[in-house]
Amino acid sequence: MATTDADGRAEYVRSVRENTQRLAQGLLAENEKLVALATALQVELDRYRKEREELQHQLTRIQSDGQRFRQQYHEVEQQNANLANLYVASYQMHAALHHDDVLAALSEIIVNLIGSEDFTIYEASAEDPELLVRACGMGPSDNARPTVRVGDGVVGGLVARGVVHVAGPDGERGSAEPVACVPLRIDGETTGAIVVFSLLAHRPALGTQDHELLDLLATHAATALHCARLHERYCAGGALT
Amino acid sequence: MKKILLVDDSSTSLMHNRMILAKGAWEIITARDGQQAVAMASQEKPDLIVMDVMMPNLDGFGALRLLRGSEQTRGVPVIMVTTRSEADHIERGYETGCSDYVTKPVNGAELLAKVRNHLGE
Repeated sequence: MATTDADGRAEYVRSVRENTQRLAQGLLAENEKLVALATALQVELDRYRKEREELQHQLTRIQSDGQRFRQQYHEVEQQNANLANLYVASYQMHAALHHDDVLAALSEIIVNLIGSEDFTIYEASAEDPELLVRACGMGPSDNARPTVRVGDGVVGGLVARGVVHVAGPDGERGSAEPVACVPLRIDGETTGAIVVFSLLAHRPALGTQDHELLDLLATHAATALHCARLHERYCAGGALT
Repeated sequence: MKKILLVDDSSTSLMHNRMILAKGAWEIITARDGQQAVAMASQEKPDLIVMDVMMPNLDGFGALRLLRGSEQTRGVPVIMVTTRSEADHIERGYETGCSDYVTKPVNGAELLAKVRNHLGE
C-alpha cells in the first residue's frame, strides 16, 4: 500500500515536471516569437519614423513653397492694382478736352486714388509770374491757400527742384512741408504744380504705389492741361502756340 | 449672374471700382447719384450695392434711407464708400442701415473680400 502511494507521488511529480517543462518550452518559443515580432515591429517603426521625417521635410518644403506663391500672388495683385490705378488715372486725364474737365479729373484722381481732400492744383499764367490756384480739394486749409512763386518758400522751393517730392511719415515732416509736391513741367519749363497738403485721416503715409501714380501725374497732367488750353484756344479761334 | 450696382458721381471712382470688380463674374451696373441709385435699385433689383457717401442731388446716406424704407430694396446689402473713417461717421452709416463700408482710396482686395462676403461667395 505504501509502495503504491510512493509510486503515485513520483508519477505526479514527474507529470508536474513534464508539464512545467512543456510550459517553459512553450513560453520560450512564444518569447522567441515575440522577440522576432518586436524586432520586426521595431524595423517597421524605424521605417515609419523615417517616412514621417521625410513627409515632415516635404510638408515644410510645401509650406515654404505655399508661402512663396502667396507672396508672389500678393505682389502680382499689388502690381495689378497699381497698373489699374495708373490706367484709370491716365485714361481720365486724357479723356477730357476742356480745361475745367481736366482739372476735375485731376481732383478726382487725387481724392479717389491718392486719398487726399486737402490739395491744390496750381498753374502758371502768361500774365503772372506766380503759380495761380486753379483747383482745390475740400481740406481744412483751402481758404488761405496762397499763390506760389517758383523758388520762394517751402512749396516754391520744392516746385523749383522740378522733381516729385514725397515727404516722410508725419513725425519726420516739417510743419510747412506738404505731403507731396508734383511739379508740372513741359520742355523743362514749369507750367504748374500739384501740392498735396495732407492725406485722409486713415492714411498714415504714401506708399510705393502712390509714388508711381504721382510720377505719372507729373508726366501726364502738364500735357493734359496744356492740350486742354490749346483746345480752348482752337475753339476760340486763337493761335495754337 | 449676380448683379452689383455701383453708385458714384466720380467717373474715376466708378472706373476704378469697376476694374476691381471685373475679377468676379458679376454684372455691373452704375448710377451717378443717390436718386438714380434708388430708381435703379427698384428697377434692376441688384444683389449688392456699392455706394459713395458724398454725391450731388441725394447723398449716400439719404439714398440708403430710401432703400431701407422700400419693401423691394430693404434687404439688399449696401457697402458704403467713404473718405472719412471717423467713428461717428461710420456709426452713422451703420445706423442708417449700411451693411459694410470701405474707405477711399479703395483697396481692391478689401473691396473684393467684402463683396464676396455679402454675396455669400
